[in-house]
Amino acid sequence: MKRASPFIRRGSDIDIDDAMTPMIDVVFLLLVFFVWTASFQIIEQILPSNMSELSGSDPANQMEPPEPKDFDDLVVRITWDGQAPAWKINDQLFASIEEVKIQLITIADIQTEAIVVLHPDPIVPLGIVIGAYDTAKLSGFSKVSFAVNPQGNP
Amino acid sequence: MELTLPQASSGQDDIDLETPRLTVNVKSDGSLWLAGRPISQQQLKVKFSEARDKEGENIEVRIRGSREAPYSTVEPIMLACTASKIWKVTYAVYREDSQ
Repeated sequence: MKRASPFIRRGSDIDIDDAMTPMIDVVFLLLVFFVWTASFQIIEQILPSNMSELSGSDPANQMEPPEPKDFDDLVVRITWDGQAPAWKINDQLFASIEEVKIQLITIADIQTEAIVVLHPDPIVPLGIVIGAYDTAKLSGFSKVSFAVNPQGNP
Repeated sequence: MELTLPQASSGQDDIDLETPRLTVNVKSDGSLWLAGRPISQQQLKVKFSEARDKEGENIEVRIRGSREAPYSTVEPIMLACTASKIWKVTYAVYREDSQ
């Protein structure tokens, strides 16, 4: 038995359900295809950091005096009270990372060649430490390093 | 491994696919994971030294650390890098506006 095509108009007798079904099928197939192929993963980026030899780690060099520097290192101390970080730059207290950034930008205008040493407490969350590293880089310092305890953590 | 990475504005896109790389994951509880397996700090030093001997000085160590992980868990990775003479270390981050 020959089946009537839903697309062929037979006078005024049009079955709208039959006519729409293939289109809805195609739309759903396209929808499923795009949902499956879409990536919802957040793209990761990288923060490069060059390591350097631990000062004093080579016994052969321990007797040699360190090379004189044009500028003193900027030591950024980060402490953590369990809720929020506290900041110090060379023992000067700052209330927030924004204040630290303003101070670093001010210093960077004068001496970008200075080394920023981040010295976080062992319990400081990594997100805060990386945030401080990011802030120092954005402030204009090219040399930002981490202080580590060679004896390991208690 | 899915981790809540730290956020940074000065992050760069990772376009270098040639450099040999070791990726260390640090969970929020402080545990270290290498190649999908938990690893101790001592084992990490051994693995780094082996990789450094095999791949040369161009090798990179990528630290993928949870933003909640304490700094004390990341410190030994840096120490293991310097002990193994690996100088290229990168931190995986999300863009500041991504979350």
